[in-house]
Amino acid sequence: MTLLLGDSSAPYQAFTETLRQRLPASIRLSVREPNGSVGASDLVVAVGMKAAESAASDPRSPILAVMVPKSGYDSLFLGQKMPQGISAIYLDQPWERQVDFLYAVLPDVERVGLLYSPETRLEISPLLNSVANHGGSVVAQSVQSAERLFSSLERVLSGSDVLLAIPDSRIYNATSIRNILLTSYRHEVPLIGLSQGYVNAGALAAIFTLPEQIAEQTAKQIVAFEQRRGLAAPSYPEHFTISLNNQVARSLEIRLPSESDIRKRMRNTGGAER
Amino acid sequence: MGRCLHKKAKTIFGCESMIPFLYRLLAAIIYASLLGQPSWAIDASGEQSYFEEFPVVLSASRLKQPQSEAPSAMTVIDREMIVASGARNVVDILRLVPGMYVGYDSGNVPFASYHGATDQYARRMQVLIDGRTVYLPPVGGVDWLDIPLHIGDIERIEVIRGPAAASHGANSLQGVISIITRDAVSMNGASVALTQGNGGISEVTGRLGQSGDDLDYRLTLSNRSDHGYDLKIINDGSRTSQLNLRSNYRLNSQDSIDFQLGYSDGIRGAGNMARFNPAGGFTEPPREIKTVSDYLQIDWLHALSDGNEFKLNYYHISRSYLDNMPVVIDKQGYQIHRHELGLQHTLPQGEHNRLVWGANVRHDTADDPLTFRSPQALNVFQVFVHDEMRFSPSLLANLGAMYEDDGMGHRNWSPRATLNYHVTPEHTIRAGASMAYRSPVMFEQYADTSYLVSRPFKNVRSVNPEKIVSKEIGYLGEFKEAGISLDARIYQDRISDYIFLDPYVAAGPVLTFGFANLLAESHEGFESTLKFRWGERSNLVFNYAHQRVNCAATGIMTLAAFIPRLQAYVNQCSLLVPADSGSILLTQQLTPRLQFSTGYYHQEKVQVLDAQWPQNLMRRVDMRMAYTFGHQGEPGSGDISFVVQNAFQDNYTEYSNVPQKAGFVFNRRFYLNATLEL
Repeated sequence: MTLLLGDSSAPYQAFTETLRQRLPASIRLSVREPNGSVGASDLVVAVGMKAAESAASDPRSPILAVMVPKSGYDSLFLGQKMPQGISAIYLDQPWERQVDFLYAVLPDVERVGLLYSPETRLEISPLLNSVANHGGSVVAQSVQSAERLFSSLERVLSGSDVLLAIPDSRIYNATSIRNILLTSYRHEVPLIGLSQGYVNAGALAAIFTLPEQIAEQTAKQIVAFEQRRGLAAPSYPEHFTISLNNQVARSLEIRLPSESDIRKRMRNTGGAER
Repeated sequence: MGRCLHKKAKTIFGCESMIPFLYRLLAAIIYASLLGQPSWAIDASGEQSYFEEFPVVLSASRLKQPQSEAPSAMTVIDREMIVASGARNVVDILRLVPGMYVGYDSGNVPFASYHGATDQYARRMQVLIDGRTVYLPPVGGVDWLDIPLHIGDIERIEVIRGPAAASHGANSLQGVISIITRDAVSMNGASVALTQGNGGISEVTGRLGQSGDDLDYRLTLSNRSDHGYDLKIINDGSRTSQLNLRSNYRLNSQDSIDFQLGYSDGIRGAGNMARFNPAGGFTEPPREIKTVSDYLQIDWLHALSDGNEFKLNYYHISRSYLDNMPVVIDKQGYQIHRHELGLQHTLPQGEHNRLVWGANVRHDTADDPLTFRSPQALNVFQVFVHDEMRFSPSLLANLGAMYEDDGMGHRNWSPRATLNYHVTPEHTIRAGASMAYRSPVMFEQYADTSYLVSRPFKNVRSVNPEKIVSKEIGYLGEFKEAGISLDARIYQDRISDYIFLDPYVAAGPVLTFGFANLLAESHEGFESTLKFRWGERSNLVFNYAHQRVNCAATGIMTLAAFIPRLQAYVNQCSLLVPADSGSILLTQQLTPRLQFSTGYYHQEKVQVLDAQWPQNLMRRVDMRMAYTFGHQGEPGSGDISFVVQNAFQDNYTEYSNVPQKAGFVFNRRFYLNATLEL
């Protein structure tokens, strides 16, 4: 079994550590960096997009791409012929779950603000549907360039009850997040983020899956693969983490439900863990 | 509505039949934008978006406290209200605070005082701009016209009604006006604005701002002038040029430096053509006063993701005042400097407790040769601690205290304790008690003008700080269905050791004035703010205050002959505050581009401390109509607005003695403003 790591930074280390703990001792892992030849293996577990690309270039083994966003995975593998089989455990949350989470946190939201750049390549219709199912609508605003972020922000915020972050680093990055959070705070519009980092920075809440949680799911799939010699269909993460920023909530006079209440509400609307 | 059936659809058109037209249009727009970008941007689809480390942006000191959890009654005036009020200067906005008295000694000397009982040197409130205190020596009070601060740069004004030394420092005897200016990041681009009106009202403002990867800045330049009351008898016009710069530099994800500087250069008219000298000429000839104010402020913020925050700040304020008084003496002027260094540490203790502590050292100097024998200097030291404890989701306690050495030999503790109980999440009851001090201002303690033949000042008695003990019970309610929120409170403030004039005979026949702690005042009252929002377009704010004041002579005057005069003051003390006062601000969005707002200000008869006559009932209506054009924030957009103050020409007079005696009134004013984004 080959474990192909996209990076040696903390999330990948955390993933590897948990995976090692969860795998039975009988399964041997050989950890590689994604450069050079991957070599033939029973199964290549590619962690992250860089590793997945590297694995795709040498499709002699079945590939399980994990910790990859669905859009990235689709762009890489959709329509490609992978003789040995391919599957994935995505990193991102399905839109339905994301929207159910948003409404569990903020039940009264009518207008969900969304910023996207011309490079945004996301399957957005499930988002529009999910928001409509909750009785809301989406206010989308394109950001043509970094210089225009300011006026785009002002426009989307003046017509939104909440701003929903999407995985687009052209809009949401370490330098722009300050502008986004300060401006949205001034408009008293909370931001729903994509990670603990967003919540630390000042987002109201975020739903995300930790590398450790992906690793657990990966371990299960590897064991199943060993038993059945086959890969399951690509799937979203089973488990997720909820993070809430109580300081920001209090300041915006938003009464946040407890995490267990949020999970309960999500189960009722169908977006909970499956 | 059903969910999309085509789970594996590659494009957003995969389930278009399921989505309404509007969404299809939106989806098409996004899709169209994708078509123009054939190159695949891996950074936008990689997992890095989920693992990126961000700086802590909304750290403790950036978050405003919700009113329902604040330890004091608080009025927040935001940008929308400031704009809707049509006000041209900061003081006029304060008319929207229940219980606030706003007056003009002359057209260029505005002042504000909470719970009345003041003179034009209103000195019983702390005034902060981004944490910088502008309550300045030698006489205390704030020279509102001179502060390098543009009204358009204000993000919000928080007025704490009641003492708040534990959280806002010394001299917050009756309350605190805390002005928070817009962040450096708030402006991207350039704009110009022009204002023209009657009474010589004229203003030109230019703004420039840019937000970058690690540096943002905004710059405001302005020049404004008016003819004051526009009365022939008093010379009270003014012209002020200002520059304000704010920038923010991020060193790394935890540290940032906020840098501000401002400069204000003003010419003030002075002189009174009604006051003649028996020997010939005017006692107060028409002339010009030149004022220059500047400041520099550096705030270093170290914010950690665990909620800890350190803030180290330094600022320097300087102000010079030069009165070209040709008759009495050649030149009358002063120069003030203030340096302050402060540290504040916020440390969360789990989910339910947050501790803030800090210390400040301040060095004030005043060089005013005609008031003091020698330049005066004061070193002030303060430490403070404030703890917010959450016993349960519905019960919150705020405990805090400040210890101050005022540099004049007084050391005092100012404690505060408040309980906020959320009966339901929408209804909160607050009960609190606090104590605070006001140190004598330099003038009260150290003035020496004994060389004057008329009204010389020289203090010979030791003056102690004034002390307040304040108690209140407040209620905050949200009636979401009805769109109503209510903030009401009853209070009782007891001020003791009130500092008052104490004449004595030094030598010869001339009476010399000193100061002594002679009075006690008791303030009681009811204050409320009702906000009503109906529909998306209509908004109403209604403020009402009912107040009562009683005084008692508690100190001993040097000259028994003046005891009747003190008693006379005590007897008419109840007039020091208006029994009833209030304001209404209504904002109506008529069309998406057209906004109408109107303000009504009401104040019953009041006798300001040093005015010769009481000020009669005031009723005033201001109106504003504004039209916006273009895409908000984009070049070519902007607005045009028309403001009328005192629209119905209610004949009310301001505080000042001169216009009252001459029977002059505050005349209707109107002005037109145009702003264009470049």
